[in-house]
Amino acid sequence: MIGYVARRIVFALSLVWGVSFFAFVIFGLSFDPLWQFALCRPGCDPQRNALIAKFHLHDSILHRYWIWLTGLPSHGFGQAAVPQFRSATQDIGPPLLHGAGVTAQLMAAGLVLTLVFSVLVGVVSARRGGLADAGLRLLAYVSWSLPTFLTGVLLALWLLPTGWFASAILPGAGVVHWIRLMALPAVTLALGLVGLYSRYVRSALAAELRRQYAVVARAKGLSDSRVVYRHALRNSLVPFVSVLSLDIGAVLGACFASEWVFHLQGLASYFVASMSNADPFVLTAIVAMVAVLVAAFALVTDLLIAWLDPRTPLANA
Amino acid sequence: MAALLVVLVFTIVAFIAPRIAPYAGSQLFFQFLNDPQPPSLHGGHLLGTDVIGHDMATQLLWAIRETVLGGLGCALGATVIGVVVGAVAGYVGGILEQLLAWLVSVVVAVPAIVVLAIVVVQKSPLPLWAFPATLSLYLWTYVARAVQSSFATLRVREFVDAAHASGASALRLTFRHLLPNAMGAVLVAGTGVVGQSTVVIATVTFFKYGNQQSDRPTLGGLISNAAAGTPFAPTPWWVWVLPTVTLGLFLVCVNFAADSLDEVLEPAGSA
Repeated sequence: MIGYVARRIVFALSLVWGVSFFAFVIFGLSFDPLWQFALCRPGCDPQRNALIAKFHLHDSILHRYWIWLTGLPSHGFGQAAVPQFRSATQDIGPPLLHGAGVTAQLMAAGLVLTLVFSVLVGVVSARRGGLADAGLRLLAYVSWSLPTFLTGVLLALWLLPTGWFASAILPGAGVVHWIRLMALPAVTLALGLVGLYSRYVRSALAAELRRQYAVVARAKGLSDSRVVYRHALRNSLVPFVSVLSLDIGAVLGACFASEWVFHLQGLASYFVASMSNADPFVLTAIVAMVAVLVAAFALVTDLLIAWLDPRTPLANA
Repeated sequence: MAALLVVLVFTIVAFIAPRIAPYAGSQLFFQFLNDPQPPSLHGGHLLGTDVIGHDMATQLLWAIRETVLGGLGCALGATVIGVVVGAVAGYVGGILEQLLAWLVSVVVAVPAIVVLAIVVVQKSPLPLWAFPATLSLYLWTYVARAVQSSFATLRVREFVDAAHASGASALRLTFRHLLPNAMGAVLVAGTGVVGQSTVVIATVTFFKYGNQQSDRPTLGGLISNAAAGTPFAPTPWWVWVLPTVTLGLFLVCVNFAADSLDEVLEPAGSA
């Protein structure tokens, strides 16, 4: 078990490193922060030269990456190369950490909803069959096919005017406010995912219920729901969670769309704001944060698989 | 089958949109500024006009072109890259296979809409192929994963040994023997990519950091305009419903087609 966890952590670290490397190189080659001086040359050459010296802009991209990477422990993400609008300090790290926190909360809330409702829909579909199954599958299909931003726009249009939910634009605090704030974005995120993953639960559960141990359990007189919930369900969750762990990056993309529609101050808002600045250092920091979130959530789902199916880790450890 | 037909119709419409659109994409009818016309058979605006006086039918046709061709183009590019990379890794196996698995994890750890940022930040007008070309550099991973895993099961089969024994080269073995048997997986993954890339393109254009030229409407852009509303009056229903239903219908049909293909071609591996 410990060996398995250690290997997963090493993998997660290598993932974050890989993403940060590619992001730094690609953004660094695509965007030149010197664009801000394009209109005032030669008047502002001193500032321009200072910026070049500070960010080593004339060094090779690999050398710059090395400086950035080795500076991480002491400087964090460092400072923005392009002055940030609406921001007193130029430090990249603190606002980004706040944004990542909001995104992580939304991801967690959305994934918990996804887990619960995928299982509910999957179980009902697999057990009832017939009309309930057909109806649920159709609904799942449509909710999975609609892009997250569209689901979000529709929910915002229909449900925000009711006044049950808090708007992210107005301030507020406390647990009740958090629930009112996160409910719609999390449901938006979950709707699409439930549509996709309830199908995995349904087909896996149907297959498990046909296997010998389920038939034996029933033959020995166990109630139907006991067979499902105590015996078959746990096994049928494995394929669902495995697919989820591979899809975490796409889930985060959907999370971005949901955040954006509901004006949450998560990573998406920083990302969109930083686009117009075309600051490679800010963009790299955001993408690195994204990778950290993805690696962390993937690690959790991997551990969940290990707990659901004890054979997985022990066979490889 | 019906789903596949709808997708086909969308594709044809996407190609011939410039010919069948009743007006030029950017043409404004100033008499309808802030006075959107409902859909009607008379008056030359079959699907009505939007809030600033665009003809909805024209907007919708151009948006379908932009979005659907983007999705299809991306699937094509992603399939070509994915087949080549997946086939090499799946045939050679070993360390290459693990390297590919790692690379795929790295690529899919970044949301696709972030990837499109690289293109979108460029200030100059984007050519039609900019989105699909960039996205296929990202979504090839799905095809590569499918090809590689199907190669992994095919590699140990007898007919591969037989071909090997009769002196087939690695290249011939890969493309004459292994790939045709993996075609089902390729087709299923490729159709799936159409849906994914369409979602991503629609999302990015919805975020409005996409193509902002008014003569190049996109489905995401139309929905975004409708959601933004007007300061004068609530957005009329047809401005809302038309792009929403169009996008929804296309995606449901693409996904349904991908699923049916999966059931027909890959009976063992379907979810």
